[in-house]
Formats: sequence, structure tokens, C-alpha cells
Amino acid sequence: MAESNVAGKIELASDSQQSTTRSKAEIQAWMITHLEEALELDPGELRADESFDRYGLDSTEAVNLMSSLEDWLGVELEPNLPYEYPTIDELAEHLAAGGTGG
Amino acid sequence: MSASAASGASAEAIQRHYDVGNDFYELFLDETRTYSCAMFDPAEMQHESLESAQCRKMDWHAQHSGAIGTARVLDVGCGWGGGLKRLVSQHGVQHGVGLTLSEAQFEYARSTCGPKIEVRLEGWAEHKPDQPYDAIISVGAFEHFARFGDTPAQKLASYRHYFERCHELLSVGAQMSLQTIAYGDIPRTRTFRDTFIADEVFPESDLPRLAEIAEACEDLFEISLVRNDREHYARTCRMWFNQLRAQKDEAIGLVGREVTERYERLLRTFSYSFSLGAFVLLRIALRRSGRSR
Repeated sequence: MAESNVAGKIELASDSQQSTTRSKAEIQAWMITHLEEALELDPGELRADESFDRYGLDSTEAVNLMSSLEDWLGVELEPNLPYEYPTIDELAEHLAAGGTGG
Repeated sequence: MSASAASGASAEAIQRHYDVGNDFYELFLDETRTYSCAMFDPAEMQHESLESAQCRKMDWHAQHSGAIGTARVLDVGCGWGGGLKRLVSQHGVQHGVGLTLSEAQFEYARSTCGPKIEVRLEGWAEHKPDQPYDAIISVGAFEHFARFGDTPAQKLASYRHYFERCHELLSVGAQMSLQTIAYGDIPRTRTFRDTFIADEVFPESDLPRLAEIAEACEDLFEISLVRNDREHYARTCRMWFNQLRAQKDEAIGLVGREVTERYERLLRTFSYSFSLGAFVLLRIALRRSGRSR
């Protein structure tokens, strides 16, 4: 990861997690598990290249997703990210590259 | 309609949210103990301290309510009294009166505010002073003035009741300022699957829309200025969240894990809601209509 990307992250004060670098594949896997549970989908039903809209991800779920992602990644994220990067693929790629804002 | 329904959320509902304990709020609020949206210097949004931004916010209200250098000012929803203290210490106000429905806020404010400030545990509908006020400031109270489930007509009546009381309480030509959260780009017909925010932050309450405020004060007040500072509330909530996270162990020691995590979720979700524009933060300057009614 480029240094400029790391510097752009704002670390969250936390009792449990630290800011860690995650690969795109790790982030994708995490999001799929999280969303399948949140949206009550069967394992394997979610596709990384389909829009969040298609799975009924409303604004409340989007906000819950970003909260959980913040805690897992240990960085502050902008809540418009699921709108700016509307698939698991795009969002995971953006986050793996160190992006936090939309 | 009961007396409390005519003037918004009940004292019990207010206390449920605000009486978690002064020590707990002290963990994440700034030195001025202000639990409402700050006003940041736009050029310093990411760097300015919360305390500095809270003071700027109070100064804005002092100026736009016309309170500076006056004899009597009313603060509706005075919290822990930080705004009143600044009015009498920095803005030459001779006598400040603060109203709150929270017993914890009342006890704290009464014991720390000094002789120029009178704090009362009562709502605006019951407040009957001997003399009129030169200015009224209300920050973060209007959110509780309408009841969740009210019809649009009931909601309007509640807000109008408030503006009528303010009109009666103010001297001729006086001004007042109002700061409140309002619905942003949430459609009026929207029903919520997740009512976490509504239940936790605004118990028994319904938020206003700008148009409802404008309609409710018609013929009573002239609106001289409206600002929407939602980005400032996103930043304020985020700073509270970060403070609470940084002192999570202390917070759990004071109020337990469940309450601590409920507030964490609330502050972060709230910050997101302002970032996304679901909620807006209105600061409104009003001038009392001179026409006799």
C-alpha cells in the first residue's frame, strides 16, 4: 500500500481493534458474510459484482455496514461509500487501496 | 390532548435520555458540557477543538437572538447551563433564566451557574415570569416539541403553541434564535424498519421540517436568517464518538457496557445521518412581530 494512502486514514480510537491493512479479497469475504447475515440471504446468494440495491440494502443497513466495517478495519469511513461504490467489488477495491471517503 | 402532549415529549421521556448521569456525559462532551451541534470555522473543520467550536456556536446565538448587553434572556432547554454562563460572562447579559426538564441537568446547572442565572425545572408551556424577556435562545429542545405519531395538524399546533408562548414572553421588537435538528431528504411517507434513532434520541418526539417551522411562526415572527449546518453536526457527533471510544473502559465503569455501546451506536449513526443529509441542522434567527394580536 502506498504511504500516502496510509497517511490519509484517520485511525479510530478503540479498545479492541487496530488499524490494519486488509486485502481486497479479505474485505470482500468479510462484506459477503456480513451482508448475507444482515439481509438474511442464503450463503452463496450474494454476488460481488451486483449492486447493493438489488439485495435490498436500504440506508439503515448501509449505515450498519459502514459502522461494522469501521470497527473491523479500524478506520473512520464516510457513510456515502456504498452509494459511491455500489457493489462489493468496487467498495472492497476502494477500501483495500486505502480510500476512506466517497 | 393532555397538557404534556400539547407541549411535546414528557418529562419522563426527556429524563430517560438525558439522566444517564452527568459523569458519563462529561466523558465525551467538551469543557463547556454542550450537548448540541457546535459551529466550526469552515477553514478549520477537521482541526478545531470542540470547545472552541461550541463557544463560537453560543456566540452566534448571542448575536442573532439580540441577547448581547440586555437585561433578561431566556434559554429554553438550557442543558447544563454552558450557554447561560457564556451569556452572563462574555456578552453582558444581566440576568439569564434557563429551563430544563432533566433533573440531572437542573441540579448541576443550579449548583454551578452563579447568582446572575436562575435555572428552573419546568417546561416552556408552564413558565410564567413576572417580566418579559429581551431575547430567547433555544438550542436542541425543539426536537422534543412534537409527539411521534401526531397528525400534521397536531404537530403544527404544538409548534405554533411554542411560538405563541415566545411571542408573549418577549418584549416588543425583540429577537430570538432557534437551533434544531430537522428531517432532511427523508420522504414524508417513509416508514422506518429500524427505529433506533427515534426511540433512543427522540423518545416520544417527532422532528420538524423547515416548512413546518416557517408555517408555525407565521404572523408571530419574521424569519431573518436560516442556516443549515448539517456538516457541523456530523463532525460534532464524530468527535463525541471518538471521545467515548477513547474512554470506553471508564464509560463502562460508570454506566455499564449496554448503555455505553448504545451511545456509541447512536453517536456514530447520528453522524452518518447528518453526513448523508437524512437530518439537517437548522439555526434560525427570528424577530418578534410588532403587530398586536
